Amino acid sequence: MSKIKVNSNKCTGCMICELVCSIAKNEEVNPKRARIRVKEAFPIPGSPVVCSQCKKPLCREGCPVNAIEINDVSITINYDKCTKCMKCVKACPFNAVFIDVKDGKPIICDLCNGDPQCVKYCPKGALTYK
Amino acid sequence: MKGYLGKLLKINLTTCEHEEIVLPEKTLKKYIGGRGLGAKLLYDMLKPGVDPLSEDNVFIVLTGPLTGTLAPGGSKYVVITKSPATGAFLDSYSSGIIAPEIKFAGYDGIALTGKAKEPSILKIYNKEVELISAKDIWGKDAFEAETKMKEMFNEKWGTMVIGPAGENLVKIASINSDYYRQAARGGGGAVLGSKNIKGIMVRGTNEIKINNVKQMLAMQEPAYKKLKDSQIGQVRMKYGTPFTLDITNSAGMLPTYNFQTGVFKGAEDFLGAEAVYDNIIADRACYGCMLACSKVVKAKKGEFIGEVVEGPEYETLGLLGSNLGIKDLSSVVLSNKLCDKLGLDTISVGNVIGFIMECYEKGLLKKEDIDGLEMEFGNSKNAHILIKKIAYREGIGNLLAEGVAAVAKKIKKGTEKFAMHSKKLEFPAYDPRAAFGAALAYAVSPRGACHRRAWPPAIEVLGNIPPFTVEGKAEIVKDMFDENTIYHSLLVCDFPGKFIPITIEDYSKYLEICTGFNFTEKDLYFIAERIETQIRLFNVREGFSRKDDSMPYRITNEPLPEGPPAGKIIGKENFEKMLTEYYSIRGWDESGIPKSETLKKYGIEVGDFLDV
Repeated sequence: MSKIKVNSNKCTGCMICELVCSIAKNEEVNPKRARIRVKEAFPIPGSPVVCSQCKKPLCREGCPVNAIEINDVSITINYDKCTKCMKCVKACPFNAVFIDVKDGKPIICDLCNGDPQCVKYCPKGALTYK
Repeated sequence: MKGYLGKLLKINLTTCEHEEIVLPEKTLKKYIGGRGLGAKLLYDMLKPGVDPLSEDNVFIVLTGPLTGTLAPGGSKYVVITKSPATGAFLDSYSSGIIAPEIKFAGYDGIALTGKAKEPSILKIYNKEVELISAKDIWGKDAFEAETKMKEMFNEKWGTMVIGPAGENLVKIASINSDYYRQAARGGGGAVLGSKNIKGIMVRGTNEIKINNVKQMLAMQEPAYKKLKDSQIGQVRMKYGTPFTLDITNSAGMLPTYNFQTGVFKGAEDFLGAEAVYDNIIADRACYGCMLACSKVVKAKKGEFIGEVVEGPEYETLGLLGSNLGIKDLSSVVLSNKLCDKLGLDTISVGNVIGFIMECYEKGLLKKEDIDGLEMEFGNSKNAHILIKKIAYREGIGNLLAEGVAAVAKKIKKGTEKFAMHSKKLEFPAYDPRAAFGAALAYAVSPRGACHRRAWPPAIEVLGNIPPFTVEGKAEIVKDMFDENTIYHSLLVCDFPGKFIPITIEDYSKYLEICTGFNFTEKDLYFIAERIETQIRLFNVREGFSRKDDSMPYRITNEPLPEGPPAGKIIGKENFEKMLTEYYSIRGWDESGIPKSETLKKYGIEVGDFLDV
């Protein structure tokens, strides 16, 4: 399965990935709904955290209701099953499961159906998809 | 409302009460946001003649309709207040996460009135507004204070914070955001200090509603393409602002030895683009910016090897480097870091110390007058000591904290001739004698000597306009002013406009995408004209007029000794001629007072916000 790779040396901390994700997934400007988030660091900028599409996802193992599924492209959350218990958020060792600030649901990068928009719009080529 | 939130959060620090003031669409259409809206709000909200450091002053932080969106450069906020340095209108810009966070919290801006009972941090989380005690961080340097603020909560917060300089009401005190971003000019840090506010922290969880969000995303790729094809854009991305030093030194306009010359021999090799580039350890972008022109530098060699700062930007290299006769980049890195930590404007500090050095070398000040410090040009260690003294108002620092105009007034002996300021705001790092239009730009800038309102050297030095004449400069300066006023009201950084380049027409499109407002380029220039006159009205009400749109004697009467401008003199008469022309183009009278027909033309009314 392909995944997003972050080259932290190229990242300038511009947060365009967060903005683009929020626009692509929710059609609104609100980075606190993004599925990729830039860590804050000074003076050298932090780089983004995003789902690494683990082969054995601990988020899935941690989910008590089997709401975390793997499709052809990515890990996804089945919101019909999800109870917002946030165990997946705690289980991810990379802190890459986020909480959607608007509806309180856990969110995971779904790779935009194989065309991740954050990768497309990263101005520095710090994100690659392969 | 789209693009905007339509609300100003007004907080009375004395009573701890807050309210949301509605910003009507009519006003936003007339003044856009940022600088323009600030001009309107400050005029209406502030009583004339108040002491800028009293609780009667108003401290406003504003964003614009493009802030926080994907529009290039939309990472900025502006501080609007009456300046303690000049007594005039102050607009001082910075970027930082706080700019978008203010909008995510649901506001276009925040206005602070009154004075907190004790040192406080203002915390805003969406609709929750709280003053929390700053007793643990009052007295701490700005870096330490900001770290403590960021550690209070386990999330990203936007921050503004002052250092000891702001607490001590130093008139050249800055405000930090994200450690290394400064709203530095004009003493905004002292206004916060006078209000007992050590820091502001904001976090919001709402969206910014956009008129056409898909179109916004579609604008992104063409902008990347433009930047890729832009030679100056590529240079800016690689070197950041230090590249400017190579240009100004060869043009003979790099302030050196307190503006005694505009050439610092060989400076390209030790303070210039390549010299700084060699020390860069990371590039850092502002929020949403594709350029990433800010550079994190670690000094690889020199007396202060290993010192790290985000910077130094060109202005700092000029004023804390060549202007002090300092060749060691590591010394400039440390000076820069000290100013950031202590909360001081590097431009004003460089002018003040350069002035002291000239006085010392000319025998106008003795060692014992300067707390026993030998202040010859090139003395890094003592420059660093003076920086600390200014921040803490210790010894001679208490006088220097008032700015270069006040220092010259105290020393007398004809030193006002080389105290480099206009309206008491110290000079940026371009000597106007190498590009005469800059003299006018500095003089008519409402906040005092400033290179960010209009920068004529862009065409006087880099273009085809003859630099050593005043002919036609008034019109050039006016047009440049208006262009930047559009950027600063939208509110976007002026670099994407100049380096990608995103044109004003492009930005009118972004404005439509964000807000639905339909403004042509011509409309935006008309609005900019209105804003300049609105700001002028503020300064006129505070007693400013033609007499204050002035240049130091050195600029109008003394030639530079070397480089392209060698021997060229602007002349007082020529300078006055530029002023007269400028006023006439603006629709202001001979004294620089806006005519009543001009107010009518721009539909300037007063009092919309008088009751707020």
